[in-house]
Amino acid sequence: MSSHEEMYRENVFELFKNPLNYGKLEGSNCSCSLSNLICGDNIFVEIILKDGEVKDIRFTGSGCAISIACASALSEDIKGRNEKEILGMGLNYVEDLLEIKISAGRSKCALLFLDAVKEALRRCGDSHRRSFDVHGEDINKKMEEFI
Amino acid sequence: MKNNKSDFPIFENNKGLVYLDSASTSQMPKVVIDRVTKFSEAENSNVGRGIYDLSVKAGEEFESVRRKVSDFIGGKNGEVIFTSGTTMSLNLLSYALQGIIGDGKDEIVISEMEHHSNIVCWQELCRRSGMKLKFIPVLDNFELDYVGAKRLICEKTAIVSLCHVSNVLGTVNNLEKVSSLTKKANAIFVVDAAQSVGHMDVDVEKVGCDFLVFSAHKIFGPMGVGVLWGKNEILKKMNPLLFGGGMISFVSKEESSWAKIPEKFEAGTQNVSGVIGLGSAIDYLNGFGTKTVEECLKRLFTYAFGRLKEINGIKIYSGENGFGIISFNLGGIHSHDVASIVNDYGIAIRAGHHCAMPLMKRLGVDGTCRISFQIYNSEDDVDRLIEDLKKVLEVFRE
Repeated sequence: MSSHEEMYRENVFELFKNPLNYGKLEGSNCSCSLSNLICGDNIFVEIILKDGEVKDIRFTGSGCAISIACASALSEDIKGRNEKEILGMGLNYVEDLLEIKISAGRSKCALLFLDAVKEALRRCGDSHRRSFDVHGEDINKKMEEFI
Repeated sequence: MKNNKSDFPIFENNKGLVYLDSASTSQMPKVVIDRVTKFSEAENSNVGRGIYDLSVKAGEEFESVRRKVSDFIGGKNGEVIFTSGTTMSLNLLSYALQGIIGDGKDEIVISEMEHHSNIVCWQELCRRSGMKLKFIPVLDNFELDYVGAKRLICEKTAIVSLCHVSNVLGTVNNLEKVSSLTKKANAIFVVDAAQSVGHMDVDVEKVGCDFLVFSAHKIFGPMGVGVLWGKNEILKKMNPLLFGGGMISFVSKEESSWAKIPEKFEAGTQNVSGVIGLGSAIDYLNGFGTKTVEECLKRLFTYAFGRLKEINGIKIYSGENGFGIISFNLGGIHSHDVASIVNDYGIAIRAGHHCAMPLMKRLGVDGTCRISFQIYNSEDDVDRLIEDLKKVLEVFRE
């Protein structure tokens, strides 16, 4: 089986074309925007975190079929999970969840959402939850404007 | 024309590879690889340091490449400075020009079709100096807006920095037209020739620029070597960016003075084997002439442009007069998905923003697929791409 046949399965197309948990989340208490440096795709994740557990999560942004399908499946999967469980997730977890094999060149696409969630969780609870770049500009605000 | 594919070992070592990403980096012919290896095996020495034969010979060879580069771009009225690449050349300029900008000059003009390397360093100069960065628009036909350029380039303009050929659109900019504007405005004119030198005849005198920059690795040379050609009268006024060995004439505990141009701008040990490789790449190019490359790239562009248009739902982001590079999107399919699937069939194309995010925004897309040609490509490569793009459509059922 070629690598694209292992990646572009029926469930990937379904999750890509009808993504789960796509849209803004009212009342989120932690969030993060991340870009895929290769293609410039952005993903913005909003989470309601209570007692260290993800109560709700939604995302916005654009991406390839792999990144959106992974975001879609993961966003559903991590609801109800705690921070420790989520921070322990990696590429293997994503591959098992979607029952696909991610080729080496696409791991950044597959992990964009998960990396954004992890970063949001790390920031959550900080006295300043937002991220600032080297010039002191608010990255989240810039990302939101970009999206 | 003879297809030069057999000159390039990459194709011997990767059977079936269709390489359509030469705008990112071109492959190296065996003669260049052999020349770099020979230098490392038999001639390796630092230059400008030793008085022993090995060092003297390496120094002579290094300087002969400098003359070769100068001849290659008609640069007799200026000086060739070696850098690590186009990005380094532009960064050097963005720092070194800061100190010589005249009173009343507080604007820098670039265009919407620039590579990040020709945007970010000027943004940073503006941030440091309080100058303003202005963008010449790109028209809907993917050409530069020369009316906009005329409006923007004025007496307040300190620097105009423009690509010769867009790394995304393949658009060839009319530099002579821009040069007449920069001369009238008394502005410094910088040309990013990364996608044009070695791909077509480029003569700095005809272009009418003050600085011209390019990289060796896009013209069959090694990575990590670039060129900054500049006019002597401006180089003389500029302060160095990097300080250290090789660029000084005298150092005391209190102060230092600089070596002459070009050494003044070449601090530290240079990438000597890379420069030797660049010299070999120019010899290779001169063997058949850049005119031959230009004709080949034009022919392949026209053929690919026509064949791509056969595909239902394709959107091409290059004009009919483009050169060597075509960007496109396949319906609503993300460029990464397209590149990933054709990769399975041995086709290497670029996907994403191509280090040109402001241009992507102008085009209203997150990214594009991009194909780019070199002399080792043929119409067969285009045909294979077209067949495999149709397979992508089948995978996505579009």
